[in-house]
Amino acid sequence: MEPDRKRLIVVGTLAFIGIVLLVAAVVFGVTTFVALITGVDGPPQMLVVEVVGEEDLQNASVIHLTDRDLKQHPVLATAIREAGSNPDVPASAPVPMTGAECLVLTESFGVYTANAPILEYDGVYYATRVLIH
Amino acid sequence: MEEGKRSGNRLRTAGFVVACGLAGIVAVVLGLMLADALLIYAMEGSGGQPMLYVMERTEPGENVIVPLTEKDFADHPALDAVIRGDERNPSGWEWGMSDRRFIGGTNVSYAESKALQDTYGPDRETWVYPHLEYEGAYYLVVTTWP
Repeated sequence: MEPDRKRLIVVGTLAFIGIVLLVAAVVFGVTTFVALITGVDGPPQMLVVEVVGEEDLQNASVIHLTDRDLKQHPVLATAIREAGSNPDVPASAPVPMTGAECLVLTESFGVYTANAPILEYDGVYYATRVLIH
Repeated sequence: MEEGKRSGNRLRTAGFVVACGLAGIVAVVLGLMLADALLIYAMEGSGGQPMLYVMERTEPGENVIVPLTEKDFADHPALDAVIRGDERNPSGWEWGMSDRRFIGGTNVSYAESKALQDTYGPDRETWVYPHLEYEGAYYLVVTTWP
């Protein structure tokens, strides 16, 4: 009787640990798979930033970006850093962003609007657009 | 006598089944917690920059209103920094809709991003955001998980 009870406890403990690991593995696997397929925060969107000359400004609104703006919007900072790495050559830099980041950038800097404003940082002007895949 | 023994056995079997069920539930809960911890650990190592943004709205509409207390600010220093600290950034306020604006944002850890989303994020079924009320203004918490 005693060895039976001991075996039952061992089997029960192993089953308990097994279920814990199984559930964790399944949830982790499914979440990672869904994230790989759809992106963690919805379908992928790309922010495209292009360097433009002063002659392209015409009547466009211009938003002057501060260092704090770029710190608070890392996607915009990355895109501007890549596009502005050589301001003499027209360059564009698509950078992936989440839906929430797109909303924030649209509300703050109009990146996903019909007449998107021109952004200025450190004397260089940038036009923005959003690509949705 | 025989009847009493059978009844005792039935009781023991029922107890065993209930104990197994409880252990199963505890194991599943622990499994979910472990999966959460694994995900956060994996994301923290990914090099992404999760952000907290706070949107201010002029009117709460029909939405659920949750008053913000000092405890909320103490529990979530990032929220404090954006709503009434150094991360409040008026430079992007001129653009966008007139009834809403993002007042600022700050970099947070994945664990903090998840905690903010769980506490102040949208309802899981309706996806309606609760409106956080502080000193007569209404705020929505938006987190990113890149």
